[in-house]
Amino acid sequence: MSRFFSIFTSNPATHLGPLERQLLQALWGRGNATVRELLEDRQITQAYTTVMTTLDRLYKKGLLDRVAEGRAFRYTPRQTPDELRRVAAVEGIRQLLGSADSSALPLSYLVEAVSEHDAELLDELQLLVERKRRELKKANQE
Amino acid sequence: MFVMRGIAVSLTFLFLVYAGWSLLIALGWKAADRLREISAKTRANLLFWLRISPWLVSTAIILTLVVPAYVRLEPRSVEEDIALPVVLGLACLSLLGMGIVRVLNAHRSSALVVAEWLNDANTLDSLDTGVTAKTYQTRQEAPPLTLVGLCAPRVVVSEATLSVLNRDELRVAVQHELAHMRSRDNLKKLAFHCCPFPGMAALEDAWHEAAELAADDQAVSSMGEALDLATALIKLTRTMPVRTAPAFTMALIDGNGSVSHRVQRLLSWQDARIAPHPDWIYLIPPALLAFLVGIATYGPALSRIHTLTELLVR
Repeated sequence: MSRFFSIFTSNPATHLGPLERQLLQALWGRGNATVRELLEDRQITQAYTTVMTTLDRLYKKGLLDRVAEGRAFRYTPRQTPDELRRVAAVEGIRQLLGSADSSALPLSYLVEAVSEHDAELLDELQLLVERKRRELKKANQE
Repeated sequence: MFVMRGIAVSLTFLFLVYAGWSLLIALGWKAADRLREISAKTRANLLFWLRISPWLVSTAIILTLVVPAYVRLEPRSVEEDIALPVVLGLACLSLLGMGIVRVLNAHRSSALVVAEWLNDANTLDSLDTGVTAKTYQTRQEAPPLTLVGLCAPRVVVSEATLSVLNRDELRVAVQHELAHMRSRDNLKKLAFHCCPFPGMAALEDAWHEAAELAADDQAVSSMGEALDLATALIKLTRTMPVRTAPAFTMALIDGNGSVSHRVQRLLSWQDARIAPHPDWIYLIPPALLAFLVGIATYGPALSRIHTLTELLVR
């Protein structure tokens, strides 16, 4: 069981705190930045040292690259948002598949989850089509 | 000997240009695909021409440069070592052979599956599609709607599809397949098989996705039809298992591309996708420029090609 819960603790993308996510978003938006530049945007209101420590943590998690610039560091995201999502998904699935003694079980959970997700998605799409059809009918009557 | 040497040199250049250009396309096609504002049809056409460009470019270079340079500038009486051109020429023939084998294998497997579908199939005459294409209702297990055949395409509709879709939904779904027929998409798939090179699967998948969106666009001409096609996609996805279509066929739903994305596009159909100019009009300036540059530099280009030939047959 402990291996199962490790999915949610060892995967960097599912184990990001709010400030870590905020900083990653800011860096994806800018491309790269120093702590000072991030604070100058006024989107991040935390103290300089808090931001610096959090960026250092993201760097140690392997999510950021950094180069020295004077006495500070310039940070750059190592992956795009899509790449990070893909890495997180692959890592999560890999750990799920390795989390039980019978390898067929987690795969069946995955298929079940995907099927449920697909069915819900199709229901949503059907509702959107019906709504659009009603709007069209109404417009034609007017 | 002069002719044999010429053939070996031409095949060598064909092989080298084909391999080099294919590598360039395999690595760089995404850069050309960044033009997101273009229509699905234009994108599909662009990706198709990129995919088959290795043969087009290499053949054009052989016919316009290598052969004329050889005929004009190569002395006829000289004996030269042609071991390298013979080896590379054989590699080129292997490549051509590989393309032919791929096409024959894919054609044979597609033909077997399609023959099974058409076994005991009935002709569907009641569909008002406005296009003269044969439509068949198959009793066999088949994908919901599929365009089959290269020279005389036909639309195969599964029995289950007829029970799930109403008349309007079926008509617009068949129109989608007929759009594939007008775009000769099955023949385009055959062309892909003729151009073997590793690393092209992503480009072919992107073309397939764009071709599906383009067929959706061409199949509908009003919001009502767009909603009918969206409903057909949802119903068929919900009720039928997704199957991989045989090589030289185009299926309405075959697991390539996202049905959700297609439905959402159809829901916003009013975003008019009518291009102000035909696609080819944008090609006129670069083609004209290339033609003029080609004429201006033709002589020096021939002598450079001949220098390269001398390196090969020294």
